[in-house]
Amino acid sequence: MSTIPTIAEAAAQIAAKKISPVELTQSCLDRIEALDPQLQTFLLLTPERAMADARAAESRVMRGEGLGPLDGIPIGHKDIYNTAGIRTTAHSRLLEDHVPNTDSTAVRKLAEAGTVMLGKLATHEFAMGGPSFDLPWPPPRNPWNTEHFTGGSSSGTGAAVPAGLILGGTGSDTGGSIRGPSTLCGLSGIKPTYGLVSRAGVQPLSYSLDHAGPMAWTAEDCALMLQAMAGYDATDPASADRPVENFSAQIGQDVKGLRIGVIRHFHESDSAASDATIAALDAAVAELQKQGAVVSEVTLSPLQDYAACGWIILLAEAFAVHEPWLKTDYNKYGALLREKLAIGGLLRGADYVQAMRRRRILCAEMVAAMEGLDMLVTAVQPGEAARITEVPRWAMLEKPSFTIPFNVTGLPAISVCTGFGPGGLPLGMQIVGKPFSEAMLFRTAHAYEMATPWRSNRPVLQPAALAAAQ
Amino acid sequence: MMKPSISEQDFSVLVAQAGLPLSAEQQRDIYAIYGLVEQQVARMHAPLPRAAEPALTFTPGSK
Repeated sequence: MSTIPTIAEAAAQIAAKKISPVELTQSCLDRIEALDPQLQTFLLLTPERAMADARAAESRVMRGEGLGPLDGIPIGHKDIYNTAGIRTTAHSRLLEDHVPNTDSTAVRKLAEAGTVMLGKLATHEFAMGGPSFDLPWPPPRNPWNTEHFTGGSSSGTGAAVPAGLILGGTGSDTGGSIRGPSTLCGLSGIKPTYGLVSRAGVQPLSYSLDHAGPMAWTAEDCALMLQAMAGYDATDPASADRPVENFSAQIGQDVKGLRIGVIRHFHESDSAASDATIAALDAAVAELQKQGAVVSEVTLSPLQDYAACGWIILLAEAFAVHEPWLKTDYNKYGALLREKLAIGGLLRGADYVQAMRRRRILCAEMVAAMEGLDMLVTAVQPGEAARITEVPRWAMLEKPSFTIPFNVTGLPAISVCTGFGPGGLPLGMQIVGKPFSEAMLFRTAHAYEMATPWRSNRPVLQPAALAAAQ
Repeated sequence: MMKPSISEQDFSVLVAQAGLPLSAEQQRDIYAIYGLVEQQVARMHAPLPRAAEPALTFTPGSK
């Protein structure tokens, strides 16, 4: 298989019996064998399970009993998603031998949709910190330039999708961990509305900010994956008990009349993004305007207020999650994670409550700002991916995050590739919607992707053996 | 880098209260950036109306 199909393309070919799930899965395994020594995306490969899944999918398809567009699609899971009988480490020495008894809800639902599980993907340790070089496994590399960072924490999924090692995968997003790597590695990823996808069986980082969601090459593919992942789950106390809409229903519709508010001060003055990031974002908004969207500018509280609110909540909740291990096994954590978790222990109860009070005000402010609008747009990252050895250790405190405001508010946000910077690495924007408006986000992102050339540009990687010989 | 408002000695009391078994070097590393943490915390302590309640995560009555 010479070209890498999207999930939608592969699904159509499988349904038409033009490719078989077994053939598709084998092509992914071949690419993993050739390329993963450079990319280091998999912590655990499960080829026997993958081929068994693929054969089962193939039998269903041949009998005319296919389960839908994900039947026979090879994917991988971020290694904070529990997988029954399959090691789930959170990329940490503390869980090096952890084998769960049950699947996380999202993993189970994706399996029930017929996906083929190729294995478990690298992450920042417990979905925070990174890139760390003092853990049992190395950090993944950016497929556009392996000297560069992938972003995190869903780093393995971020690197594996563009390289075609998987067609899609799971991620989680507490402060930007789906949208960050999706942007820096040039794929699409959505942090759904808080409560839409169950976090049951996903290693927690911050209970009130954690979101589970899909990452794939296109917005259309993310919609297909989200369809399988979403839905009420009584075992997640934050799960939203509401019907799941058809996330692909608006794909292909135009954006005429949709009202977009650009939060320009976030990425231009509160925390200036690179010239290339801003130029690409402006060009993307202009493209949507050309297609009929109505664009205006929105002013909110400073980005720094949203970021401080998010980080204090995150650090306090993460300390509560990890406190027992921090007290007994502090040095088993990697340095980048343990020092961040330690900060959470230095916060006072009043600090957390004040942040939660501020959170309510910020949520109300954003809801009010979205009256008369359908979507918001801002940057995801300040620029292209840094070299992996030059990622600032305290970036979270030094520069306010563009992504965490939408964890604070729980609103859905999708990252979209907007081109490439002067270093040849991807750039991106995020489109943010009202609660449970994912279908409109997919429609808008898809309209943009169809009008621009970025989805036809995959990273060029040489097999490890060839690269080593040069 | 913003300097912390508290001394290194006072900082070590906070670390002890949290029950964190930090080495002297680990403690110094975190103290070095503690001013940035204080800056974030200060933003959350800007005055709010007394009746301003915290955000609730879950809908009352849900399981």
